[in-house]
Amino acid sequence: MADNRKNPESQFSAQLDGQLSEAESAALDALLESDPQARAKVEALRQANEIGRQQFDALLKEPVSLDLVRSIKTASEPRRAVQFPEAPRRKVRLKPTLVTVVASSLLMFGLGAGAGYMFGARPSMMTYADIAGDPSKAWLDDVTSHYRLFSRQSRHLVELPANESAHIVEWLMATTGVSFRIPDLTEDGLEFIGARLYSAGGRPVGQLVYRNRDSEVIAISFAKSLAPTDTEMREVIRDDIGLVTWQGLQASYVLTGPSSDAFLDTLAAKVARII
Amino acid sequence: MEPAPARPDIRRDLVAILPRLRRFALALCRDESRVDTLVTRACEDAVLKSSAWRGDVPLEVRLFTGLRLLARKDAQKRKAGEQGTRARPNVTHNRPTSRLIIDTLPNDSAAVFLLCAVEGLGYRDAAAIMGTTEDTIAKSMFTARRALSALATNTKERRA
Repeated sequence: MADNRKNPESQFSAQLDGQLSEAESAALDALLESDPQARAKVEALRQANEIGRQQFDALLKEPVSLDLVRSIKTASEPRRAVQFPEAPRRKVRLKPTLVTVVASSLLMFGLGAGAGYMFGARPSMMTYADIAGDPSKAWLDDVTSHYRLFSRQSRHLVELPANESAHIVEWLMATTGVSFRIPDLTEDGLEFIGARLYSAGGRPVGQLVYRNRDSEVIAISFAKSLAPTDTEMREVIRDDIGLVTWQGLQASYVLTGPSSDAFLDTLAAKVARII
Repeated sequence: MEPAPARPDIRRDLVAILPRLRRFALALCRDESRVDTLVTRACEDAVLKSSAWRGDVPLEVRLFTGLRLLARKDAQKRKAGEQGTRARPNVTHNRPTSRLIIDTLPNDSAAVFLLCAVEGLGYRDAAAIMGTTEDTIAKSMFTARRALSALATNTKERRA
């Protein structure tokens, strides 16, 4: 890069980026001390550098479109090909005898006739389960619509404020049948606002409400488990709302927040340990 | 067989650096309407290839390189499509001050200035991202600072 550093200005530009050796830096400083004209030019460059940084920093404040966030959060991950070590297979040559063929044909006929009888005899009746649909989907639908409605409230966000924590725990435990603690999430920039009670999927649901530094609402909802099946944490996006669901020993939990929040799953993992 | 170690979800990290990716894409293509398309394609590409990523290169460096390649391809395609049609309109009027810097800095110097002076990368990393030499990066940095200095002087004179 030596040929770029003919004049003090270009040398100073490289010095600003920490690209000069100690000897080169010392020589440049000595030159600038003795040449006021060069010093003025260099000072102008320093100011220009600061202006540039400020203007680029201002670009960071521009809002990121929700569609962009959603398209990245829902981008499909590559499928991982896992190859398990295979034991060498023994080749079995199939040579059916007449008795085997007749016996298997009779067996298949019997199975087919049995299945046909069972399906034919069954009346075409719609069960309650058919009408009700997937209970876990219904519960998530209700949690989402509740969040959409209440997260826009300012004065009526909660039923009981944060300063009544003891009463919140007593009230929600008695109503939902779920024992819990109110997680302290101040380290994550979340302020506990209070709690409310609502109904989702036909069950009473307790909700702990927090606000982050951007005044967005983050809510933890919990209800007594219906059928504990999937214990894995799952993230779902419904329009502009992100939901992280998981299953505890006695309850189902959902952490709800804006889908643009990249750390909802980390927060949910922390809440799952504390609550 | 031992299970593979759990890999953090790259998509979450990508969302966290989205504003920086958009800013770099804007410095490269200078066209706001192209920014989100470029960023989406670069991120989708990174997610698809995430299983091959060993973490030896920082995520943003990897994405900046991908964005530069995509922006170059995109510019070539658009140039080929625009040949023989009308010239691009001058878009420097009525721009917000923060956007002025993108229009002021010539060629790739906006992107280079962003990488070195704002993102804090060294000339070597910036050269790898921009697909050029360290010498060219040094020249671009000097060009950018001189252009910014001239812009500041003009603004002062106009105010006076």
